[in-house]
Amino acid sequence: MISGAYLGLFQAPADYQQGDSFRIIYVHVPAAWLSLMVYVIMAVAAAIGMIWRMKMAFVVAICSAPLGAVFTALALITGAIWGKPIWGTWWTWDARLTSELILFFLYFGVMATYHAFDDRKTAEKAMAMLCIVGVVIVPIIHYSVEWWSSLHQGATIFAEGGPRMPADMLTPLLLMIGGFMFFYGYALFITCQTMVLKNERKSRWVREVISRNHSR
Amino acid sequence: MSPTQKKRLTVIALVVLGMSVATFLALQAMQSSIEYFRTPTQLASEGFDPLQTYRVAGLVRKGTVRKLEDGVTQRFDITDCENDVTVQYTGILPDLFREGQAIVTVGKFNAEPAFIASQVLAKHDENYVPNEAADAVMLAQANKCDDADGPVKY
Amino acid sequence: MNWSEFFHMGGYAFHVWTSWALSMLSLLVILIVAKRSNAKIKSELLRQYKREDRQAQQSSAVD
Repeated sequence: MISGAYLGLFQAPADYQQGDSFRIIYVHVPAAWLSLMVYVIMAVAAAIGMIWRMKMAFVVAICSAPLGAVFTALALITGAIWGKPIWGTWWTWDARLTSELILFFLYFGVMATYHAFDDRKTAEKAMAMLCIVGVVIVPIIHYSVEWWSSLHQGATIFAEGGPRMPADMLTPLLLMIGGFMFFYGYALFITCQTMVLKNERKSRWVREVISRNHSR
Repeated sequence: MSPTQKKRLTVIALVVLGMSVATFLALQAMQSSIEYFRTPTQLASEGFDPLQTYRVAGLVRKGTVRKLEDGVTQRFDITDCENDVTVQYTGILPDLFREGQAIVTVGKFNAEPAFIASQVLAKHDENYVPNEAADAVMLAQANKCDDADGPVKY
Repeated sequence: MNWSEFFHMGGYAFHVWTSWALSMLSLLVILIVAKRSNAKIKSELLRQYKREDRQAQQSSAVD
């Protein structure tokens, strides 16, 4: 992420019409991309948990939710900050922005559903179903700029005929996206570990691991 | 995969499918409210209601930007290369405003018919171009309609 | 590349720096919170197990 940040801020040439404001892209797009990717991972994990009754899958799902919510919030906020000087408004109800906002509420819905139940098994199932059902919003968000007229512009990286961005602007962007993905993976790993330890505290293997690794 | 697991997988797949179909139908029904703006060609074919507020978008047509006598109000035509709409706006235009730029505007039609705008936003396209290439790109954009046959998308 | 230009970001300083600062700060906070909870559960469990071990020893010593 550091090299992406360096390149994005220092080396990439200024966009001809947005000037340096376009550098917001180096956090806005990774955040938005992650907001979608995390939801998909969450939904897949939820489905795996439901089908194979795998506890770990549910842990991955519920731990991903707050991370996804943060990415979505960042995407919305950095987008608004960018929109004000460039478009002329912080917010508007076009398809892309509205659907991303819905995604934000969906993440909260997932977290709220999980915490609404005392019994963990019920909580997991309810949360999982919401994750799975909500996954339709992801393609809607992605294709919103193509299916409907909107204020938000169309795809730059996934455009037909290749990315609409020269390499020295594109490379830092890809690096930042990669950096955010690794961040997600690392944060997920830590939070999942915490949750598993908490959930399984009564079991023997946890005892052994803790005693072995953490005795002072 | 055991039969129970297969059954669960099927249930989930059906749920997703059902949700997709329901969403698709809902979106189809809401189509007109999801569309963010109308194009000049759409207005030309559908006609317009002078009492209704519209959101219209188009490219700023070369050579049509002019200031009125009061010094603050500006007029310009927006086009999709097939039809034009004359827009009148009193206020500060966005930074990105220039010939060939895609503009989204909210307002009502008056008797002329000119579109009296209450808000003018610039729509940035998906291309990112470094400063060095700027002039060429801006020229191409301002002349976009010369090469187009039929309405352009923006 | 001169530093005052860099901070100025062509007039968009507020926008660029707020976005970047907010994003980086959020990520940092997430990391700190996650690591703290993790360390906390581990030390809690360690204490709990030690306590349980001691209690088990005591009760077996009594017998």
